[in-house]
Amino acid sequence: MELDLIAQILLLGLLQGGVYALVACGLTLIYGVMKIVNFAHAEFLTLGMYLALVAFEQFGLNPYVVAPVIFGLVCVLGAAFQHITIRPALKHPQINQMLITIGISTLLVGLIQLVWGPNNQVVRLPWARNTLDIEMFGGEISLSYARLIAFGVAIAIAAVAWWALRHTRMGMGMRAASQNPFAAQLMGIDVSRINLVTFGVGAGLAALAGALISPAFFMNPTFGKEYFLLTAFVIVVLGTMGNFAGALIGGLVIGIAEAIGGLLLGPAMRPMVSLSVFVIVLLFLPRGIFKGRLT
Amino acid sequence: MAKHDKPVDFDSLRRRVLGGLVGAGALAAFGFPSIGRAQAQSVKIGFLLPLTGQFAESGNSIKVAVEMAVEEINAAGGLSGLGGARIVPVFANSTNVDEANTETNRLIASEGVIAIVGAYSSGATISSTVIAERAGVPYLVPNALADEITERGLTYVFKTVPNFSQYAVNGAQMAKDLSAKAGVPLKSVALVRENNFFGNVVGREFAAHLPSAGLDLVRDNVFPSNPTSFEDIIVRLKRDNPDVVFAAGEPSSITLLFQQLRELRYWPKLGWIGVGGGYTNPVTHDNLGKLANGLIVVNDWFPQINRPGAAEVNERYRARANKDMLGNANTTYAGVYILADALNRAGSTNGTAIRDALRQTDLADGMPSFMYERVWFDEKGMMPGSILVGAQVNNGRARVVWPDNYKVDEPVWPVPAPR
Repeated sequence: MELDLIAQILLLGLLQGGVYALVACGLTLIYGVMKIVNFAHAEFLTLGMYLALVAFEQFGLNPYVVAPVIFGLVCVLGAAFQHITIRPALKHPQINQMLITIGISTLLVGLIQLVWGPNNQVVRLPWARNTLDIEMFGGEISLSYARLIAFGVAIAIAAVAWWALRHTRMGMGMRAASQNPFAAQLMGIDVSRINLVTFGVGAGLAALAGALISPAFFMNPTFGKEYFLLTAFVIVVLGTMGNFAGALIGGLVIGIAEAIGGLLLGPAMRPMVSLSVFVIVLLFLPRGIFKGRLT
Repeated sequence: MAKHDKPVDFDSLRRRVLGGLVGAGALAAFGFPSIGRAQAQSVKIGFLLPLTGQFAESGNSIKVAVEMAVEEINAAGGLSGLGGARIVPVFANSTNVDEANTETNRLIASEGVIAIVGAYSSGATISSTVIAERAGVPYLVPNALADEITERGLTYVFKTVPNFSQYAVNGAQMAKDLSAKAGVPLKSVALVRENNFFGNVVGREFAAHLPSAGLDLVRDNVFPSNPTSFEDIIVRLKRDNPDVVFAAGEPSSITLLFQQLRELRYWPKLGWIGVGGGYTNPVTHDNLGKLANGLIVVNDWFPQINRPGAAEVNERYRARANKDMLGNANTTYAGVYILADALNRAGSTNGTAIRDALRQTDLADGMPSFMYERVWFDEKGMMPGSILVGAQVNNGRARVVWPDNYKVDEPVWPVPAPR
């Protein structure tokens, strides 16, 4: 097999891994700190895509420009959901909180379908389809701008989150609440506020990811759930729940594993290869690549 | 002894008495007056459709077409051969095989339908046709494609839609015709299809029929459902460099596929031909915009076709459903008229009489001609005139370009890469 073909497939797999990592960021935060699986993660992602669509279609705004605004809006929305629905259940078994996130997911899918309809829609950003072309191993390798941006932002978020968890008061509070919420409370940390911020930022990051990948994909009300939720769970567990660097590495591992699997066994076998890698890693590192540590 | 100790089961008694009353009432209401009056008031026809679940959108689009046909026939005086009897459609759900079987039994036993139309999915149709056959109730299939529906020696089953295999046979013929006309060589073909029921059937049929058309299948590219990337397939297509790509998929995957075709700047030498509902869906064409310009899609009919009345039928349907009459709404609409014609000629609600009338069907005019040149059935109950046509997409509209007698536009072939 030619070298340039392998290089192209690997680089595309790497970029796809960046997209996966970006999608998994918000999920890993909530998972790591609050210890609950946010089943509504995919719907916050989908909501981010639709908000980007509205900004682009109604106001002519570039999705990449409005992405921070969407992040902020959905942060507030996520925090509101946490405050109204999850907080009252915090003293009850965690399964209750997870079931509440399933409820939020169902509600959001319904609302999105009500507002934007069930059909597929696309953000037609003209230059998102353009590619960066590199001469390599006697062939031309094309990488689309939309995916390069998603990849870059995934790395940036992982770096910022890594730093923030180590060096800011809120970050240290999150780590403390993650290790032992009761002890953290005794040390004067406002765990209830930490939970509020964690859920808000987690939802916001999902929407940010949605806005950033919107020009590279299409959207429908169940897009996040059908296309990214399972992969995001795999990445979060693979990279250690709550660890942003782990999510980045996990995303890249899955992206490249899928690319190699697709190349060797055919595209229909892609999910089998990536999930096999997942099982093998967990056999040796049951708590993920970072063995349970957040940083 | 114990037998006499048993208390009287009032519940069961009450049910029996009530049942008897209802039965007598039903006889009084429906049975006796028809003896007294000369003309029958109505006949029931069962329509098995997926009205909920995964295919609910298609099922409900078809339901609108059925209601439109029934209203038109009833408004025009009903079934003349049955003394002007009105058609009463009885809709039943056929989301899966089990439900289709149960509902077929119910339609026949409780509703007393004189014929059944359905059942959209091939699996549900294959099983429910056997039940109707056993009961001697004629069954018209205007929307399920599997070849075996009419290959099992059933005598009450009539199918007006093409077989799965025709997608491969007609698709290959179209590519050859277009290439011969344009004077360009055609040899190699690649497939790009989803790993689902329809995709796998398309794969099987093209692999079986391309060699006999003198074409080489260079690679059968299969992608999983809900793919997040098509890059590995496109990179392989670039290597294989086939003359034509035949493809099948769902609207979502087609959208992503065409975006990435543009990203990786790939387009086959001659053209891209899509088969099946995903490629025919107008929403897909709308979403793709310019990216789909030149794409050729294969289906049993398109509103922009050279057939008498096609545009008018589509407009009437659009007024009700607010979308084009595609996705088997067209074939089922025609099916109601084909069945009504047979009922008129049968002059009876007897299953065998209707079956014999369906078998002698030979329609070259009337409403079904918006789709078909001639409607008739072979000894297996298959309609030989059910062909597939090719339409080229331009700015979101699919206009028929093949075969010559149905075309409204000249085909562009080889197709330039959409930009």
